Amino acid sequence: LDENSIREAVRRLYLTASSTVTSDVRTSLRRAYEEEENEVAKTNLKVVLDNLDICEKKTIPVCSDTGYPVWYIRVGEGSLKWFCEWIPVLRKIITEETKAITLEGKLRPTVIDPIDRANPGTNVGEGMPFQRWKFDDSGEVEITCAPKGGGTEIFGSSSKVLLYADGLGGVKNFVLESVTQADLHGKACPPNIVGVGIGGTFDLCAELAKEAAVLRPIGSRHPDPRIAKLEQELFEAINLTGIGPLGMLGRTTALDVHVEFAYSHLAGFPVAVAFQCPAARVSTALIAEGGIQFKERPNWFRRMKD
Amino acid sequence: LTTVSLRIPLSEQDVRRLRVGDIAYITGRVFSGRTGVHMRLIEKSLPSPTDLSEANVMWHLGPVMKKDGGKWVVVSAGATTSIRFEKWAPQLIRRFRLRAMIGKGTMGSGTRQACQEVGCVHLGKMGMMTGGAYAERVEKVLEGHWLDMGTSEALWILLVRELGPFVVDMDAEGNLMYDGIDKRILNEGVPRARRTLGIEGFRYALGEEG
Repeated sequence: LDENSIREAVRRLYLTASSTVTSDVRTSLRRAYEEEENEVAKTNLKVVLDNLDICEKKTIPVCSDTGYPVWYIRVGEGSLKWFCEWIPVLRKIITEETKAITLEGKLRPTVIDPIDRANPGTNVGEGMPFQRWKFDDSGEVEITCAPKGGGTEIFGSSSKVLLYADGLGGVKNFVLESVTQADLHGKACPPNIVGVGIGGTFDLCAELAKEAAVLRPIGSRHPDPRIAKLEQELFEAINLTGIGPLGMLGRTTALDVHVEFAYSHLAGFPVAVAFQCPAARVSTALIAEGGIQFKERPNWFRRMKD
Repeated sequence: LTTVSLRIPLSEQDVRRLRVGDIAYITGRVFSGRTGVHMRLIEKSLPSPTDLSEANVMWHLGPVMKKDGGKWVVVSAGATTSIRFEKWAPQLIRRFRLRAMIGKGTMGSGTRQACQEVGCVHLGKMGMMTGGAYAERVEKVLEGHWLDMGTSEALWILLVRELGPFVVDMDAEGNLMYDGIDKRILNEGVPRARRTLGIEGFRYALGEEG
C-alpha cells in the first residue's frame, strides 16, 4: 500500500461508480421492464437499459447529473494500527481526485455556492466532497464512492418528527406522502429505492434513511423481523400507487424499500425518507495492508458475509 | 403510440398539430439552459448572446462537457426537472416565441397559458438518466455562451439528430398528459396503498393544533 495505489483506487471508484449502476439495480430494472404491461412504462425502462449499456461500454457518466461527490469510509478499530497514517492521506486524495476528474471533463461541475451560485468548476467547496467516516469494531477498511443526483436529493428527501400517539401508522403515512410528493411527474426519477430512517436524533435519522437507500442492495431485509415486515409492507404498498416509471403510470414505483432504525427520545421520534434513483452509482474497495480489493457494494451495516 | 419526427426550427403549425401522449424525436438546432440562463434572460433582461430563431427549442439541460482538441463535445446529457423554471418559462416562451421545451416532468399553469397563446409544447423525457444515449444524438456543439456560469449552466447551441424519445405532456391546446395520470394515482392508487397499510383516515396526533 502506498499513496499512489490509494490515489488509483479512489480514481477507479469514482469512474466506475459514475459510469455504471450496481448489478442488483440493473437486474431489478430488467425484471421491471419484463413485468410492465403498458407501452409507456416499458419504453421508459427500455431507454434506461439501453443507456446503461452505452455508458458502461464507453465509461461515460450514466446521467448528466453526475451528482454530489459523496464518500462513505468505514474503518475497523482493528486496522487502526496500520491505517492511522493513511487517514489524512485518503481524506486529501478524495478531494484532489474529485477536482482532477472534474477538470478532465469526466464529471460535471455540479457543486456550487448556495448563496451566490458561484461555480468553482471542480465539485470541491465548503463541505464538499462529503465524506462520512464511521468507525466500528471490525478489522476492515472499506471505502465507497456513492455520487448522488439532485432529482432525489432536491425533490425527494424529507423528514418529520412524530409523536408516539402517531405510532407506526405515522411512519407509514409519512413515507407514502413523501413518495407521492417526490414521484408525481417523475421528479425523483422513479422507480426508486426508498430509504427510511426511524428514530435517533434528527441528523442520525436522516443519515440512516440515506444510507438505507444508497448502500443496501435490493432484496436485502433488515435482521430485525419487525423492521423487515415494515419494509415488505411499504414496498408492496408503494407499488400499489401505480405511479410507475417517471410518474407516467405503471407497476414499478419502488425497486425496494429499506428501513433503518435507532433508539430515540421518549418524547417523540423523527422519521426521514431518502430516495435513490435508478442511477444507483456505488463502487467499493476494501483496503488492507497487503493490497486493495474492489467490489460493488459496501458492507456498511455489516450484515453481509463477504 | 403515435410517433413523430420533428425538424427544427419548428413552425406554429408543426406544434399545434401535436397532441398530449404523442411520442416525438427532434432534429436540428436546440439551445440548452437551466437556472443561470433564465436568471440572465429574464431577471436581468439581458439580450440573448445569440440568435435563437433558428434554434426555437429549449432543452432543460446541464450536460457533462469536455474540450477535445480545442472543440467542445457533449460527454453525457439528460434533461433536468422543468418545473424548477416555471417562474421564468412563460416570459421566455413569449419573448423568444419558443415552440418547444424539453425537460423532465412537466410545467405549471403559467407555461400552459403561454404555450396556448404562442403555440408551444412541453416534451417530457422518457427514461431515467439517458446520459450516453442522448450524447450519441448530439452531432455537434455549434456555440457556447455564458461559460462564466460553468459548463453545466452555460447556453449551448447543439445540433441534434433524432433526439428522443420524448412524450408531449403539455400541448398547445391546453391539454395536460398528467391531468388524467394524477387523477388515477391520487383517486385510485394512493387510497389502495393506504388501505393495504391500514392507514385510511390516519391523522397526525398534533394535526392543525400543532
